Amino acid sequence: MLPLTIWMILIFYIPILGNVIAFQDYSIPKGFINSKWVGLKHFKSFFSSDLAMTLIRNTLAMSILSLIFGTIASVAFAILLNEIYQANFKRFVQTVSYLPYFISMAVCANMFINLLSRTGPLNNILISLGLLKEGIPFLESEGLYWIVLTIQNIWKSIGWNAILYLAAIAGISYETYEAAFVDGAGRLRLMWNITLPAIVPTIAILLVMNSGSVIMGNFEQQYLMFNPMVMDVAEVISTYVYKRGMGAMQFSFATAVGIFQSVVSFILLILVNKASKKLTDVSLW
Amino acid sequence: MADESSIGKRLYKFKSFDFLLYIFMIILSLIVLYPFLYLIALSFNQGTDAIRGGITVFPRKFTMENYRMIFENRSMLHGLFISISRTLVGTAVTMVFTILASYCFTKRDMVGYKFYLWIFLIPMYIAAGIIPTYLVYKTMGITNNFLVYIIPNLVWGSNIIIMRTLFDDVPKSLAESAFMDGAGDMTIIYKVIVPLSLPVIATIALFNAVWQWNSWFDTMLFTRSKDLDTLMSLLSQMLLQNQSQQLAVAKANNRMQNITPEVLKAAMTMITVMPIVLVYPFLQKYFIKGIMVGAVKE
Repeated sequence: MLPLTIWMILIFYIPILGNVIAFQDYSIPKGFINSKWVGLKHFKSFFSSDLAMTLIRNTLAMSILSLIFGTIASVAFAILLNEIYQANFKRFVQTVSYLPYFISMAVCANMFINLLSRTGPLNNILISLGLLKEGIPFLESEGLYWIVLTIQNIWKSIGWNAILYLAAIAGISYETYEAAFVDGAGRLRLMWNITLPAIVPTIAILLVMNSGSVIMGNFEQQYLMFNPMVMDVAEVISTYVYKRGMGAMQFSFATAVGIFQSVVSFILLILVNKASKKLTDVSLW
Repeated sequence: MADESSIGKRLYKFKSFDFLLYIFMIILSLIVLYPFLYLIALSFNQGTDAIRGGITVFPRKFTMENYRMIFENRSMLHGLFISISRTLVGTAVTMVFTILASYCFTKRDMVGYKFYLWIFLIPMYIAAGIIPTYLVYKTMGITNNFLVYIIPNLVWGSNIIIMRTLFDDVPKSLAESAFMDGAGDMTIIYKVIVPLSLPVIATIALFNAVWQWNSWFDTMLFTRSKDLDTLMSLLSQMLLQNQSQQLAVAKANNRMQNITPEVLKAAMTMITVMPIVLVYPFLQKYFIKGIMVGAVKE
């Protein structure tokens, strides 16, 4: 136990202390101790740049779109799947639906880049249906980029997220449905008035858990799908931190931006948890 | 369990609603599967022909040369070797440590139990940023080293919680009687706990293996040496290069004129996805149970 604890401290806690370089002008030869202390200089320079607002907007926009539509999609999927009575077919659909969760983002990005390219199959299908005259470069148009990334997120996680909702649905007893049925409730009514309320606590807890990450974004996705044509809408805080830190070697500046991200994430988590406790009686602690 | 969640008995007759539902679910499954099918087609298609576009389900000019080129390329083979090594070594080491740590956490009367628990749980919610992590690892000397794939991933808090819950279910009397017979902690873990918990241990191991296999960002962040590139990191590098660089790579590596970066990436993607699809049936058999245990306890 003790050796593992020491390892935990080395691997996770010392890097947290490493964040002090945000308040220094860190350079590798000088190290953590001897670098010059500069106070809030890097925070100030980040917030006074025009880019800061754009980065925050892009990050929040993509995360919130994914969170809202991703939740709606997987809740709807779980409720509809529950309406299928044939166990084999149901199992098949469910098994297929969470396959994308297990593939690497590198693979997923490559798939979408291919599917959505100017000569890719989606454009082909739209053209042959007569909906389009010529191919749209989906990933290179600023107006579509957020939507495409949201859809990609849903594609990758709809089945996985539905698992927890399905488990909550499994807890509803048959008698509850039967009673409502006897009272003359229609099928959609059962879904809306019995199935959905049963999973509201699960929805709330997942929203709370994910609320902190809206400022983090999905780094792997945003880094791989990024292309210079849509820079203004595609650059997010995490990719910017990586590029400034590892690419331009501005370690202290990048760390300062990273700290801003973590602090916002932590505050969000606490606030949303509080709000959820008030509204739905569900909270993480 | 999710599989048993159907209401069982039917309240309503099979109506047009069901018919639409089935159609909808079939379309949904096709949408999920189609990107895989398209990449299979692309990976078997001749590169110069694929540029014209218009491939949908089947390859138009069938060829094996995309795959042949990958398997003849030394850096790709080396990447495959590193991918397999990190998956096998990483998973094995992680499992040993996770089992040991989880076993310790079943002993609630351990000195400093609460302290240790917090130490392991906090990193699930708070992480140092990538830059300080990189700099600290660099100072410790584990960057640019195969160890960087193993050491930072020894245990995960959430896996310890899942496994502890599982170990708690093993009757205490079994461990006690083994203890009476003179068995030490190691023997108890090896002879009593592990055999009784095998399905979930296997699930966590598979999850870990999939995670190791799929990782590419740690390669990019922590290593500079080409010797440590995995298949995934090679693939992501190709995605990040621009077209002309990709073309140069493709042309420099082979004398076959028909290969383009697109088909090459498609073939590489298929090679990296194949193992996942192969373990998938085993994986999904148990994993619902695994995440349920985790979800209930968190």
